[in-house]
Amino acid sequence: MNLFWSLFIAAMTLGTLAGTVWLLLASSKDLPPETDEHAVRQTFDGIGEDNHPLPRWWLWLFLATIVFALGYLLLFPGLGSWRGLWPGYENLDPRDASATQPFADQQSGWTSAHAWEREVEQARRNYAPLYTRYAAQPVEQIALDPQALQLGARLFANNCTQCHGADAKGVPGYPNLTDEHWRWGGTPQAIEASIGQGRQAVMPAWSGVLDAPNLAATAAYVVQLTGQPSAEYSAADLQTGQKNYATYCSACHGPTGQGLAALGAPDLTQSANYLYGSDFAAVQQTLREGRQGVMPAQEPWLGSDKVHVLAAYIYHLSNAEPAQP
Amino acid sequence: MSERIALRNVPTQRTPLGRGRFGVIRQRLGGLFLAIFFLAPWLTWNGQPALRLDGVQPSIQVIGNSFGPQDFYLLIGVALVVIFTLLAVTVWLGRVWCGYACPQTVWIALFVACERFIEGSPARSFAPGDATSSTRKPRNATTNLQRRRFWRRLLKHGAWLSIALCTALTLSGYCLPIRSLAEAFFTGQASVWTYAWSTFLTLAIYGNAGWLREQVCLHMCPYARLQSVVLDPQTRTVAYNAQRGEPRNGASHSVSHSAALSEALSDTDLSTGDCIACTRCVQVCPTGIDIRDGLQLACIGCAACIDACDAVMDKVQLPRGLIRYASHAELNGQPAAILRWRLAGWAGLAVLAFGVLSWAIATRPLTLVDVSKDRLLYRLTDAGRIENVYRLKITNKDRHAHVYSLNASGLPNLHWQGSQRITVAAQADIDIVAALSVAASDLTEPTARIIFTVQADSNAPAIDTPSRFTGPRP
Repeated sequence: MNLFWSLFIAAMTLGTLAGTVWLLLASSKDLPPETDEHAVRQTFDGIGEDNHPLPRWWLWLFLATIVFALGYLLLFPGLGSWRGLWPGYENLDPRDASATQPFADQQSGWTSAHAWEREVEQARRNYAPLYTRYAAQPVEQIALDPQALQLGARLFANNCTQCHGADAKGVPGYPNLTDEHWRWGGTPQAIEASIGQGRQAVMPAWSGVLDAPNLAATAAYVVQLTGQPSAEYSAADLQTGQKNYATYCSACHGPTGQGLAALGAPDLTQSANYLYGSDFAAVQQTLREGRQGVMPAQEPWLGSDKVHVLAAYIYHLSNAEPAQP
Repeated sequence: MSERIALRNVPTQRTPLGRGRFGVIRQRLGGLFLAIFFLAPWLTWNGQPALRLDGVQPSIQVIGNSFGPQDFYLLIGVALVVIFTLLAVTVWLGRVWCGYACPQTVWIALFVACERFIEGSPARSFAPGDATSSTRKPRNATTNLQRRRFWRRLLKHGAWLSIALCTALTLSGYCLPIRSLAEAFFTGQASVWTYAWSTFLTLAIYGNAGWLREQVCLHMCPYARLQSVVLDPQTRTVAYNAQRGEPRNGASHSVSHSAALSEALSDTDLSTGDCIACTRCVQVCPTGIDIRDGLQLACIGCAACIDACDAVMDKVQLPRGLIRYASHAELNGQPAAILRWRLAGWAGLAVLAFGVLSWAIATRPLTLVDVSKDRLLYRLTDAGRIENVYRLKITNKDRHAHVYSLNASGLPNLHWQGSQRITVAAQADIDIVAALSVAASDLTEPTARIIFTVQADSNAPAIDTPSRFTGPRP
């Protein structure tokens, strides 16, 4: 906050404290000696009103709270942008580029964010040994270990089921992890890379290049590749589609539609490989609008050890009898 | 004990608390309660603790039955049974809880017995002419007696602290495994928190039973204050038979007392009553009242005065019962009616509450089912069916494992993908995934209500849990 508001807040806070102290002391003074302490001041219709001094203990407790408040404001952030004398609050200002490091462990200064960071550190220390056991083992070996699979199942339940479903079978747009079809490769290394570093699939939109009839013809050819009956389109359409395919699609999807795992281009000859649907309308939409499939990278959140165990679990899901290492 | 009959108001002898009729009853009851209290945490049932109040899980385990937080509503029933029973007993017999069963009384009696054993009875702890605390002596003139008394006092406080420590550890033993707790505590391996709490509890019990004693009953306990609204003229409380005892035979200071009292009585016969003003009933009273003034707030119904008076009556060859358990109505010559609406009401409520509680415990559900539908709306299977995915969590709270049959209903031809029979171990839960699918033509609305049914392999009723099935707009 800028200087004016900082000073305003500090002035209001300290002013209120000072005003409270004044009010307290003013009303705690004993009555003038000539007035009897127990004198009743007549006010209305004989209903009197006493004026006894404040109880001493109450008064001193109040003053103690004022002292506490002043001490608190001296030590901790509270008076505008002044950070207080307690060490560790230098990192609070988000505009200060040098101070954007999160609190390291053992550092003083309490904020709720710092407390959370400490808890995360503590949790990492507690649970890391569980996973480092498996860090050196290959994925195929971990996939045979029932305890590792339980760890993987729980990791999966916490992190992956939101998109891939509780049974990992996915929905349109989110791959089925239990089948043998992989867009980016089904080897243990490819699976681990997909989970750890994430994937960005780009299917370009062809609506600017292909007009509607061409688009339909290409879609017809692609659908025909999967072996589905071609009642909706003619042989001429298929020829046009084949030509378009060779021009535009074969670079990524291969001349026979077999796909390219390095680019994440699916094998178009299997309808189960179609993440967004393999019927004529869906393929047309894919061609027209393009697709942007994103698998978020999990390594920044989970760390490589957990990703390794997760990869083993996913590998296990699609391999009833995993290959021996 | 000498056989003199004291006619002066100087405490020379005190009837020991344990010797009378009611004192013996209280001793035996107290011993029984102490035995139960100290032994219960050590008992096991089938390898599990017989009684465990676990604050970590949290759960209450009673003879193999585990009650989790879902069952804690039953504690209301327990509280009601306790309250109604207590009220019924109070209406009937006054504050017998205070005098015979209350932990405060039992522990005070234990501490006092310890004190009497180590220091001797109060009559023995000072002899005539000895220095009492009220007279001052020159510093160096400590007598052997004083030195002996000092060591006895130290021993007594040490004994008190030991008893308090055992009590504190036993209390903790209801919540933690007591064997490992005791072992760790005495070998210095327990955590800081264990030592801190044990110290706190020990000091609290020591202070309560050794120092505060009846001040708790007089000033802190709410049950004492309920007397005035719970007792009625038919309640059998500790009562002094003024008709028989007044006017008192003896000491000058009590003449004004008895004069006022005898004035209030219809019987103006000035021949003396049976009370010989030995004031023994006043001396033995733990809360320091004079029962001859009638029932008071501070009377805890311990009947020590009854025992004291009976002993004295025996010695002066008068019939016992000058102070006895009697109702106000009875002492005034009215017929004693035990059965009355108030007593029947409380007792009836207690029985009813007990019945309802027993029924609730016996019929509580031993299987818990939680169904969460997947976040993903639906998917289309290869066969063209619409599929929803669910997570089922089944908790088995019984003492042995069960096999559960799972089913779902609410849509025609609902197909269940996944296992429909699972085994869950005792006191365990299991997470399974199930996928339900339905033909597109059978789905008539985008969101349909379905019900999951879980049936255990016992006579328990099936548990129905509702959920939703979503699909495309038909």
